[in-house]
Amino acid sequence: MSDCIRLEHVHKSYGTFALQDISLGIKEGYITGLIGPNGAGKTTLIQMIMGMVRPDRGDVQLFGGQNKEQVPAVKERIGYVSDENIYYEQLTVKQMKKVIAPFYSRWNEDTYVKYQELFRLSPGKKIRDLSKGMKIKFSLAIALSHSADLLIMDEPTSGLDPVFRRELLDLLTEHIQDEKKSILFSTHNTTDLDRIADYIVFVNDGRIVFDEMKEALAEKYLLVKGGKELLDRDTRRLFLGIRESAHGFEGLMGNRAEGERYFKDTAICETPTLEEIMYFSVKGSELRV
Amino acid sequence: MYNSFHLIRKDLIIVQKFILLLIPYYMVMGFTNFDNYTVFALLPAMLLLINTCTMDVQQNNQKFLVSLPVPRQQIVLAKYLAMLPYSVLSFACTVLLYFIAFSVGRTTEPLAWRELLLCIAGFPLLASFYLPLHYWLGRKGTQVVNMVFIMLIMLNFAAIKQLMEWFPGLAEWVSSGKADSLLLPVIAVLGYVLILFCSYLISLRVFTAKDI
Repeated sequence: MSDCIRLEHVHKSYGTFALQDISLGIKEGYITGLIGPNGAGKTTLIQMIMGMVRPDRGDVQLFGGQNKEQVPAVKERIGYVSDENIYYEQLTVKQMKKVIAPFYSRWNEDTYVKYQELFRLSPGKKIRDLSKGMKIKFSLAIALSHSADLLIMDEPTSGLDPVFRRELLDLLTEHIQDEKKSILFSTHNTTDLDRIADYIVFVNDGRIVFDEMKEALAEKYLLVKGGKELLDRDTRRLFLGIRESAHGFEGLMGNRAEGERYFKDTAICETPTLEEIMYFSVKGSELRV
Repeated sequence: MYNSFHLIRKDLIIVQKFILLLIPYYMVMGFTNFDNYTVFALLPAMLLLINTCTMDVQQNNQKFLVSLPVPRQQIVLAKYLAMLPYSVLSFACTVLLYFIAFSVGRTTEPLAWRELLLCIAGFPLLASFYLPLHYWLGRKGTQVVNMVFIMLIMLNFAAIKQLMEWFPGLAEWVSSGKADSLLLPVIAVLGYVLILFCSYLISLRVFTAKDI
């Protein structure tokens, strides 16, 4: 199983924020979800992969080669969907497509027309008059029309209505049926990833917290709910993050086996959702800071 | 190289409405200030360049450009190559204006093509200062840079007159087409090309190292 994206010891700092020693691999043929709270560094990571932001140190490799500017062939294989509009707002959908299509040797006009109809994109409408959801649909139609092997999507589901959100996830699942296609999908809405992701990369405060198969997370993490009397100085140390209330506590443990050994008979032990893992990890790191 | 062509085509698509505005511009300027018609050639070309550069930085469009399968070097090169169609367009419009004026009897003088070429040549020279600043300052500084360069264009006529006072040989060439010595024009042309080339290298260095 090869990596379509490989980051090796990447550093990037912006004043008070820094991405620190990021090393990770995005597997070919799978959907990888990039999660993390706002400001964690997800967009910077994606922009670094796209060559928009230069790392201060470290290497970014795409499809096995270094992401040198001189290799447009690598970018031909990437479809990019941004969380913000990057197209010329004064142009119409048709004009914008006319601008983009000649840059891609694998551009398929029939595929574009198919998605244009499916997404109900009006060719005569100006980009500035499209809603955020429609802009995302346009980006997606473009990305899918040049047979991209790798879709890189930065917060594609934010601003989408629930119906299209579900349709988009189905579309991505269908796209990934071709084992050569890969998707990197950043979001802070973890329910999207619960549905479709194979791998999860969790970024917090500029660092990789984990880079795991989604199924492996269930084997690793444990959510414990119980009375406050169970918490003492030693047991608190076992948790990555704890939320206490008047009635008891909820806490996330990073070692499921150890957690079950301690709390199986005295507390409720559950498999956490991605949202719970994200919430408690962020909360835990804030407390440690 | 082929991608540069597509990038220039992109620039022409995004300024196509502005190009239509050139019709009233030439009509008004031709009617009110025809005696100095040669200097009309500079403003449209420079404004076309300023417009496309401003649009590239206005709405995150440089991110779009960098996301395309095109090296940054070609994005910069395309901006420099785009000077050619802008110059040709401005030149053609000015010549057309002259012929219209000639046919309706507004002028009987022959076309001052050498002066016209001199004005057109001022465009890449100005652009070679504008483009590195555009790539360096990006969105934040674009408005200020644009203002400064529009003022410089306004001073163009005075600058050409001043140039002719400093270099009588140039004035002689413009009026009669004769030159005493070839040395000065050759040095001027070489200096001109060198400025353009250095400008391109600076723009390239700035843009390739920049976070978009």
